[in-house]
Amino acid sequence: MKTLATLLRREYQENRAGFLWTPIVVGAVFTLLTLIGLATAMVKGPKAGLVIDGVPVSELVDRLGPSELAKLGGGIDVALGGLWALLQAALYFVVLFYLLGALFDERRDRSVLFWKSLPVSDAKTVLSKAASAVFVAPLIAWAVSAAFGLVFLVVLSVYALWLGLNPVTAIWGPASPLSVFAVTLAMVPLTALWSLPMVGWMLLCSAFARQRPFLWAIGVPVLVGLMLAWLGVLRVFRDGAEFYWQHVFLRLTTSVVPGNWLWFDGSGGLDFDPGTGSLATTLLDGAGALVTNPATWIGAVVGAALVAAAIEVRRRVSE
Amino acid sequence: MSAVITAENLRKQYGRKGTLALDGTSFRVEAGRIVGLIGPNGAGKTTALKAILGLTDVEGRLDVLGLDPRRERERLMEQVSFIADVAVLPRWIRVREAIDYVEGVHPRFSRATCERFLARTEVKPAMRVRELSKGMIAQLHLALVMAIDARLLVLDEPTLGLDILYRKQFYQSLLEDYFDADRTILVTTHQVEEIEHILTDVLFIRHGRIVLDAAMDAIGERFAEVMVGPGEREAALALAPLSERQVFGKSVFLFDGADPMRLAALGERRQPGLADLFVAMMQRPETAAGAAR
Repeated sequence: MKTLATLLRREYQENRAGFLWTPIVVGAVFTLLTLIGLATAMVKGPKAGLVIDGVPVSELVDRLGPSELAKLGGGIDVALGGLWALLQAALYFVVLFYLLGALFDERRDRSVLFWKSLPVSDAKTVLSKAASAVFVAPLIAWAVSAAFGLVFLVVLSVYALWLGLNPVTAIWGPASPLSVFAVTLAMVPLTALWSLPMVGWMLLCSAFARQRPFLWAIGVPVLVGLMLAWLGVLRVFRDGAEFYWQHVFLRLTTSVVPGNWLWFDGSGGLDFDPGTGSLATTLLDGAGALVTNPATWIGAVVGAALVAAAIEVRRRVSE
Repeated sequence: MSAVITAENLRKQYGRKGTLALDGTSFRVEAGRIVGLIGPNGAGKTTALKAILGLTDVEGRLDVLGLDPRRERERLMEQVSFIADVAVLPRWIRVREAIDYVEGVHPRFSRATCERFLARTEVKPAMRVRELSKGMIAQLHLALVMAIDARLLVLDEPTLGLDILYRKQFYQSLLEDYFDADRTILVTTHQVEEIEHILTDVLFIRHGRIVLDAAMDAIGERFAEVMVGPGEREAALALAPLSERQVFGKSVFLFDGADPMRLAALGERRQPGLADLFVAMMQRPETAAGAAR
């Protein structure tokens, strides 16, 4: 336990810029854009004391029916989800390059000789790197997105006050930040399960590439896909290429993106209508589809095998 | 005395038709010794060390502290410390973080000891390795390693690229603050003169074979250096010297196991320096070198 904590802390210390500062910068940019948008609205939009259709703005929310309030809350939730999605996009690149460097950089600077001079097995080392990619970095990104989500709601509340609205009834009542935070937190273990093939593949490339692990990690799957497409043209392997791009290529190169298993069932992504469903049910339906999908478990087995291969390659590397 | 390392018939080939880095290498290292593994570049020194540390697979029987390094590296490294040349500490890490890490993963590490060693140096906890000079990095690495209660310390060119002050200090610290009867040190270096006085044993390795395996005490008895004037040169050559070199118009001969009485007749006998002995052994034809064991 102590060893695991030490290994995870070491990964964090080396990658603080990606794990912590990247999400904070993205969150700060989101907040800044929100502030600019609201400042513009304060200059050009409705003013406090404005009367719309005979109703003062300050009483507007009190007159909304339940379904309209739900829409208002859903809209705010979608904004919170958007903030989270923005951080996830940044996190994708952080995790991709973290994994590609995880077993490559230590060989390039020869520090692998230092790490291997200590009583830590290759399996523990590699697993700690996998865990950093699927748990540590995503949990930090989640915490940062939740923190900036609260900042966003506070900023909205100030704007509501300026309009003469009560922030409790206009913002905090209709929106459901806690369920957004809970759902996005629940995405972390689900994504970890789904993304094992990508984690294993990237670690393996990182462990064996003598130069440029990125080219191996992306180039090999692209070449295989092009070869299959060519065979498809020759009608030797008719539907293979399409299946390959969807189930192998995307899985190996993008599966750390939360919810990307939804791309695989033909629905094409989150189909969320703030008026009709809650974000929570939409995402959790996706989770149900995930654990009942055989592709999840086939991928998990392949991913575990790739991680095991990365461990073996690291064991053999001597410099 | 118990053996810390037993190597029997180690064999390692790089590539299918590549050179043999180890070619039937056999040796033992006993506890409480300081052993120098000395050989030219490409002789198999580093491969032998890597095999001992479980960093590379080799054929043959290899036992280090009762463990098989190939399969039990994790357990082995609780008892074995290792310094490759100075440049292997990760450059991004802070001194404090490096200490935290070793403390977190090593059951036999003493933080207090490490901090005591570092207090004597200019190395500060908040510094990053990339901000340290080469000498300071070596001091940090040595402090980390000396704070580990290990039974075997393996040093592979530990002072490469350091200036002479740091080199002297490095070995002095090892002798004064670390080495004792329960510990064993195995060291490779090109700077033979520098470690000559601290070694208890030497292993010469050439083309993957051990060509000399001797205690330093025994070297003085077995090998002799005699300076001979031009008149006695023929008599000296008759004793089949290992090597001859010219100094101020006289010849300095190095003998292996020659009759002490006959040597005394030639001139004053001295113990050869390790560097001269090394050069002499490496320049002999291969078969003769093998027979010298």
